[in-house]
Amino acid sequence: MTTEEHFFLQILSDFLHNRPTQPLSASLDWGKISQLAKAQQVEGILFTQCQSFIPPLHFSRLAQGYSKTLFYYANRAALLDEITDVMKDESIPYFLVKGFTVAKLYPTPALRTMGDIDFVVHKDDKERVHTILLNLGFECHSKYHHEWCYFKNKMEIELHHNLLYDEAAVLNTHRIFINDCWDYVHANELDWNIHFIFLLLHLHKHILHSGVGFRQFMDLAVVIQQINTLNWDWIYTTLDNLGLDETARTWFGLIAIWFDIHAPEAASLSDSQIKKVTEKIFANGVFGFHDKENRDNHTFNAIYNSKYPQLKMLQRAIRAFFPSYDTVCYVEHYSFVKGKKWLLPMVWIYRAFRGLRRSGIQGVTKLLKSSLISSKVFKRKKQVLENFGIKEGYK
Amino acid sequence: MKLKYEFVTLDMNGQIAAVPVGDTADEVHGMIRMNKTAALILSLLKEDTTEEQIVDTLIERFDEEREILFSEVHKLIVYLQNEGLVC
Repeated sequence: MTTEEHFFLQILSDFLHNRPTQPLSASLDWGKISQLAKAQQVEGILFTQCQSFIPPLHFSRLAQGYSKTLFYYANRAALLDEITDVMKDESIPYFLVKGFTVAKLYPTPALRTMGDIDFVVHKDDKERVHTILLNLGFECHSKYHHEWCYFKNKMEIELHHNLLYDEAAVLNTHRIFINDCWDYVHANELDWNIHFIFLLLHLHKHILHSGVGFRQFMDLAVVIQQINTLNWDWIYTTLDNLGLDETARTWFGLIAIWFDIHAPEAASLSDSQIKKVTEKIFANGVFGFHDKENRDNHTFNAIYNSKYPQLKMLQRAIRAFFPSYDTVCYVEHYSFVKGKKWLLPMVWIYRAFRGLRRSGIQGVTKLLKSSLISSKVFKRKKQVLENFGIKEGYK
Repeated sequence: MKLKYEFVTLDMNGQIAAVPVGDTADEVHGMIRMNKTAALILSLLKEDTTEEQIVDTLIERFDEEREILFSEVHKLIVYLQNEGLVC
């Protein structure tokens, strides 16, 4: 780790402990620190913690990032109030997950950045909530998948009816959340024990797919630090049932090292493992999109547990060019096929022409490449997962 | 006299930041950092009011002379007027 990366983690840890960050006597590359903060979407935290000693050259850009963070948080909060006021008037049960709810546990909630607000309502109430959102001036951008997406003043709301859906469930046991999550909701708030398990499952999903940044680990850290009603016996039993207890202990071990926040029975990790995971997360950025290596994670996941990886890759390549009926139904552009399965070949032809017109032959090569993975890359990715404490991959 | 724009006040670990929200938020550039008293005045300005009425409310909450409160309220109002935030 570089001095800048060390200092960056110190800033995050100080923020979570609500204590000031002391300037380092060593000279720092503030350009590099600003880049790290931008990639991990914590510019507001960096500015707040270091504003008394940020060099003038970088001050205004970070101050801008700070203002932007507050602007988005305040506007999300205002929109949320608008929505929940109507939902309460109409007696529609709901709860929020991830970003906005977890933000409240941070020393300064407004500095926890987020891309959207995740609303969960009963499936039967979804249409009513859809109408409410339209009446409040939201635009519906997608209503074809499980989560429906709405925008107003550049703010996004995602409407869900479950915590996890079939295709996101890593193990069958995950379905307890699909079926039972409403049993753990009181006064429009999800019990923190369940929420914590969900955050762990969500982190697991992100590590396996696009990748994760430090923010997701900070979320776990604030829950561990702030929620004194966590039932650790129940949490570990549940994680054991999900096959995630060893993995979670590894993450708790990382949280202890990075943020000095301690969960019971966290794993003790080797210096080499900590170094590799830390480097990977720095490379990832907040959602893993900064690291090109993560682009073929989907192919890796598909072949991970396959007896015949080459066949699996061939199957994926065919699927890439001839997607299934279910897949195309979820894409707004091809949703005309919904209920008319016989139109599927037309969609393939239309999609091929559209793709060629937009991306040319390069698009075809890219699509083909995304379905293939070399054994060298496979081994490297397997090692990355093992460093994260994930030994079984995606089932 | 009232605020031209809608603001949300955020508690930034003791300091208050008033941030513009809503459809016209983009018209206001930046945010206002203030103390809790100024945040209270800002909340009173959400409804049509006068400097006198604001001072009346503050007198009920703070043990301070009317002239001093009036002077402070006036300074803030002038600042908000100069920034084009009240009408």
